[in-house]
Amino acid sequence: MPRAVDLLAREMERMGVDKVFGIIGGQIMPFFDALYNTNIKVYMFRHEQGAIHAADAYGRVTRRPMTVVVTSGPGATNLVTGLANAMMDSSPLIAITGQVPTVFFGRDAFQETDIVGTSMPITKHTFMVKKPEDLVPAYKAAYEISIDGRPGPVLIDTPRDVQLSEVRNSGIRELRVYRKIVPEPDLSLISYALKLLLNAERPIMLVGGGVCWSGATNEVLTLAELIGMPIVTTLPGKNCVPGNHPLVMGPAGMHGRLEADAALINADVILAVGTRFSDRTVGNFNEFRRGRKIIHIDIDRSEIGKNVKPEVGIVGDAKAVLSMMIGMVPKALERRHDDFIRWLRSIKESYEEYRSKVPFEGFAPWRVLKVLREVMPPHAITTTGVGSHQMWSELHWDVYVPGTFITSAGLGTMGFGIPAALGAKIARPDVPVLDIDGDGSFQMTMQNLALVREYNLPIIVAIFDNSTLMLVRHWQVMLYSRRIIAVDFNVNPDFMKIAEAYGIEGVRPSNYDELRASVARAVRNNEPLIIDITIDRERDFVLPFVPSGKWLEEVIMPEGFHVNLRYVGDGYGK
Amino acid sequence: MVMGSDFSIELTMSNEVNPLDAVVRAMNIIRRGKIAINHIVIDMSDSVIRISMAVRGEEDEVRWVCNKLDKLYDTVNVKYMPIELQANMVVMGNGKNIQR
Repeated sequence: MPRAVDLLAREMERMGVDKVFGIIGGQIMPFFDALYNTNIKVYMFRHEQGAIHAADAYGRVTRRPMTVVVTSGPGATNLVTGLANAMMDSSPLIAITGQVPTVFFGRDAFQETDIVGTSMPITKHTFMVKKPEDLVPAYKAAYEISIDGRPGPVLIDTPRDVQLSEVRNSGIRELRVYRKIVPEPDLSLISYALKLLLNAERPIMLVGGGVCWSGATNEVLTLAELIGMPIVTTLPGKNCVPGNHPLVMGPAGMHGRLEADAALINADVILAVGTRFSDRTVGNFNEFRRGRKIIHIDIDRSEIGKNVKPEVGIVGDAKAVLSMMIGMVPKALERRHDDFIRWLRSIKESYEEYRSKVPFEGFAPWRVLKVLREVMPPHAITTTGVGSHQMWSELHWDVYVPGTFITSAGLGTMGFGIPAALGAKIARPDVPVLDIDGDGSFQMTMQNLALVREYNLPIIVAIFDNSTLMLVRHWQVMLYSRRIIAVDFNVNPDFMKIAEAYGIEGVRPSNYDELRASVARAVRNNEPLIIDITIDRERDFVLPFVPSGKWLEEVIMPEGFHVNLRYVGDGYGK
Repeated sequence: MVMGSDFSIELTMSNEVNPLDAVVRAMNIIRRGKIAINHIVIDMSDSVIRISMAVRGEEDEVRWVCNKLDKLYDTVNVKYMPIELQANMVVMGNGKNIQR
């Protein structure tokens, strides 16, 4: 009779699973043993956190869950950050953890941890498999749950004795899962929402990450074009619309673009799609609601009214709801709000004009991004770490193809960039992948660079190297009277030697031309590259900046630049 | 101290696989809600788990907690009602929100 793990491996192959990520260990050896005679390829990461971030990115690219397999105890607990990250950013994945044999449960056995108890609040669902005949049904259920409605991570804990037990095929049962039906959108609410939008003076659309998961990019653009409505995004929403569309103003919020902040400030009706109204985007919830009517579309009913109580809350799939709205827009409607849109775009133009005139010796972060963007193909996938380089990317990285910008938005996990780039490259080997990273973030997961040569994963890593944890330093300068502590790295490793150690070409460019040439060569030759870009930490402040909890109008602009974010063109705000 | 009104929450969950896990999952949600729990009874003697709670809080918060509970994959049904006004019941389940 086959062991439970043999049946699982067989079922995974039947389901089309041809690869898993992970690290082997004592309590998960039976599962890996079951893979021995299969066609399932194992990608051995150098830390479990790397494996799970890679799975997270793989899920975002393919929209299907990658399976991460690790051992019990530290192997399992090393997944915790990655589970929380995937949960916050609604990313599908399956984590299989080994566990001590059931006879040792609760006895503090070697490498025993209650990973089910640990991970419950940060996963979409968990299974503790105590009967060998439940292992295959648990995996099938986990697969479905991870992509059902709003995606998320599912964990399956598998004691070693359960993995090894023999199972009769006839003993396998289905696990009943109470699936969540996405309700049909309420037509009367949609009509009311549309009426609000059509009667609005300055309607805007706030796009969140849910638009990507729903595949609603075209519907977002169509509705915005019909009504002549500017589009503002959250950080995850940046990934869902092409940044070069004339109605897209970019991300708003703490490190958002001024034209996007201005759009929110002056809007009288906001159509929010697939967003939870993060404090990072909205700043101050009370001010955000004041004088504005909010329409909130979300597939997750618990998001409606969670942070911002809307005038109209519509539970449903974004694509379905927006399609219905588009069908109801009067055919004879003329494009409106052109003056408002022109004014918003004038903010962008004046900011870019200012920026281009500011003298800057060495590498300016925004200009580094412009150079990288010129060289990377439009369909290239970009990942980021977390820190000032991520905020610069939020401000200045242009996403041309929706779905190609992968960042840790909700949890803000430093170290996400490298493993995410590896996961994206495994998902799409034919597409160039760039990780925009910081020296702090890079050092948190850089050991996973070993996979670049082992599995031929030629990613490009651009390190914004300011030898400090810049975003915190920024806060210390601006909010803590310049009391700088515990942020500066006085001794950093030589990243060129790190590159060499992993068999990767390393470049420390001295000017933009060298930067451009080295990246272009790596893209052309499909070769991995690590670029160490020296950034001056005394000047690398990510501005504009809205301090935490403040309203968007309280934005701190760069020195020597000011625009009025209140629209006065048609008398509003006077 | 949590302000608001008194409500009862009736939660029905699957008793099929590791039923205590389902209960802990529910408790993890409830403990993050801005509501105070005055009384709780968990009955696991049947083919389903029945959790009855008396809580105090703003109705928006009670509804939010119920919406989160309804997302759990072991939740069969969740409903809440004001304790003073038993007739005004809101039933949630299977993606529908039925006002009675």
